[in-house]
Amino acid sequence: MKHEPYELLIDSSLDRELNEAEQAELQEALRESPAARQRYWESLIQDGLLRELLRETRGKDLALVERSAHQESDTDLFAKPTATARLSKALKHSLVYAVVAASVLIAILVWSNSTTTLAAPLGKLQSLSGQVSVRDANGKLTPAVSGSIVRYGQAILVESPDSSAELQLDDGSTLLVEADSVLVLPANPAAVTQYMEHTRSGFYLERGGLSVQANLPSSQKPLLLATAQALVKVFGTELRLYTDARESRLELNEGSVQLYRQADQQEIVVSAGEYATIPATLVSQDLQPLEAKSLSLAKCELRHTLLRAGRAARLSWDTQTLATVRGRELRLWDTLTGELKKKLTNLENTPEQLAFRSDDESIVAITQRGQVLTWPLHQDQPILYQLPEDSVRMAYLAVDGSTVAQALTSKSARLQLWSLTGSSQAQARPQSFAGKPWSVAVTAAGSAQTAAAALWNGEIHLYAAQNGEQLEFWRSGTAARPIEISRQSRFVAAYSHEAGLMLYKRKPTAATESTEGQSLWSHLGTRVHSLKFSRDEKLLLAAFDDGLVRAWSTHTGEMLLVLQTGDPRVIDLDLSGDSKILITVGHNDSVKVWQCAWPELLEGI
Amino acid sequence: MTLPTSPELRVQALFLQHASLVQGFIYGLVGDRAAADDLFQETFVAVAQNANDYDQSRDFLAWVRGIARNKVLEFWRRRGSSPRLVPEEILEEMIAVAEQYDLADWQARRAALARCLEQLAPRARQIVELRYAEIPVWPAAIAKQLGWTVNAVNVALTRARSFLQDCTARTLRHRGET
Repeated sequence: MKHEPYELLIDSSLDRELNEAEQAELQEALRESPAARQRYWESLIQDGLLRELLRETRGKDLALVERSAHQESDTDLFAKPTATARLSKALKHSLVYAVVAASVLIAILVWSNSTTTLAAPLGKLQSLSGQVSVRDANGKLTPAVSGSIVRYGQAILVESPDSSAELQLDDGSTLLVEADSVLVLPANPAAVTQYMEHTRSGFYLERGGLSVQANLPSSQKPLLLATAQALVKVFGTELRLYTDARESRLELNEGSVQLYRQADQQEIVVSAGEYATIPATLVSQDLQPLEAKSLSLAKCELRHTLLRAGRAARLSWDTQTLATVRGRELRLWDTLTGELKKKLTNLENTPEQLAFRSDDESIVAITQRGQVLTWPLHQDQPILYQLPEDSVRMAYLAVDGSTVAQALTSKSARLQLWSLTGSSQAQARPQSFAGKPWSVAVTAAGSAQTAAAALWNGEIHLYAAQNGEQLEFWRSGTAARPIEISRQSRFVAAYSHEAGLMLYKRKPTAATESTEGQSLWSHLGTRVHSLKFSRDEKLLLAAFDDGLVRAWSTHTGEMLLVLQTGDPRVIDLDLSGDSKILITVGHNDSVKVWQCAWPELLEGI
Repeated sequence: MTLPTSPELRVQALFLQHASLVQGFIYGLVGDRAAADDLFQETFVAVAQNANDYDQSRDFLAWVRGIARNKVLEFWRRRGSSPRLVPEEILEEMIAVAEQYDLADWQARRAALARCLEQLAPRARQIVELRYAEIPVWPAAIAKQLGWTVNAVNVALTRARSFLQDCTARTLRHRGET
């Protein structure tokens, strides 16, 4: 493959800064050659597309590795083969041909003896990430392949927490199977649209979550979705369906669907902006009337999107400034206009969390490994120092930047607190926190400051930060992460894969085991990345990896907000002191500023 | 997807649909990733602020490119005499070439490239995945990770990109013919 010199220069410019001579050479080519100009833009377009496509298909796509091993392009892409390599290649080819011939013969024999035939194709799998398998009618599991055809009667198993798979049907409808979910495909074409009593109909969600964009025109027969409790008739619409041992939950973005309760065949229409749940119950007398409720009592409107702004964001205490971290840069934005005000570049490391000091005069940022950066905003340079502990599983920066809590992994695994007393030093707190912490949190400085640790054994402990005294503990089942404490320490929220999102209310009496927490979200398939209490402790917000932010009333446990951010995953969020400005951070570095109005029922609490 | 009705939100939604094209356009003229990121955001703010001026009968991308072009020129004025990758005298010609690529072309390329990516050899795919990861791994770090020389990684990246470019062109030609 012969390249023009400018092609190599264009290519190099994508990965590094060109030196002066190279830059001059490329300029000359761009000036003189229309082909060079064309190539330049095409390379840039491809560069942007590669970034987009590969971020979308994050995770391992096993198929690519297996399939591409047989591609001719393998040799084309790497060094020219030597004579020995050519001989070895020829031998390999002979061997491959022999194996292929034998496989074909075996396949023909097996096929001719087989009494079963392959079911008809139903759709195509795409945008796979993580561990995805296809189970056939005989229970045989095969690792899923991006672009492969799935057939009637098969099941799609999305196995690990970070996995997902999209099933595209011929009519353009898509079914996104979330993590930890199993979707059983209809047994035959008739079962896609036709309800058959005592027979499994439609797409059956055995467990987990499913997002659907159905493109069926209303003249066509509806698509059927089913769970153990519910049957949903879908025309053209956008919906999410979740199911677990407790209930099935349907949420609708667009259009309307008919929802049937399997237990008593009661039927309702669920419209855009509504949800309905069907609890699992075996006793028909216990059944409440089926009803659709408003999905989101609160409303949030998008004010700005800050593109490529960062992976973490915090509002200043006066709400006027928004700080974001992107790579080795800290940026300050005007919250109202979205304009960039100031930035700090060329940091030594990439900070992961940040906070404004309570006077809004400086910003504190920390890395997971314990480097602390303090940036007095009137100065151009930050002050850096390193916390002594290096075996850190997780670090948490208090909302006022005053304290760092670390979950240590060393032999004496414990929760360690550091008071960031000055701009360039930290002071360790008493270390009487027991147990192996998995995640930690700490409130702002003050006499009632508390720290919480979610331990490996599933316990959640709340301590007084001053002396390490244990104030309360709960049992959550499995290790939780993230964990968050409300401002006055009246609530602790924790998310674990097994228990889902739990809210724990603190009892007035200290140091006794508390009552069980309240389950706010138990459906598998969507993971919580970040939690935040409102300053008045009335709200708990959670950022989910299906692109949604949900909020609950801490008083009633009622879900008040379901916000579709438009990002595939939400990895961080923040809320202004008056709860009117919400900040969401998407995994693609987009930071969004929302204006929110909360229902009046919050006023009286 | 339906677009919002308010002009500002509608324009923001349109901008996000064209975001990668606009970002590539700015980077192509500036040749500096950090500066291109800032100009991209400045362009977005300007587009949102001027949402009411956008005439829906006009080509959205051309309108946004016009705003981005002005931001780039402003940037060069601020930078003074520092060297530029794209010299001023060919700026308009460069822009003219960039304007050949619209959203439809971008989407067709995207679909073709997605298929071509699946044809990459495993090692090449691994390197491309690292380089274009959410947090990009640059050639020197890839070399360290794989135990290769930096030059070998650069060669592999160049070959992979070149293969993808040829494959994409072939696929687009084939589609055009059929």
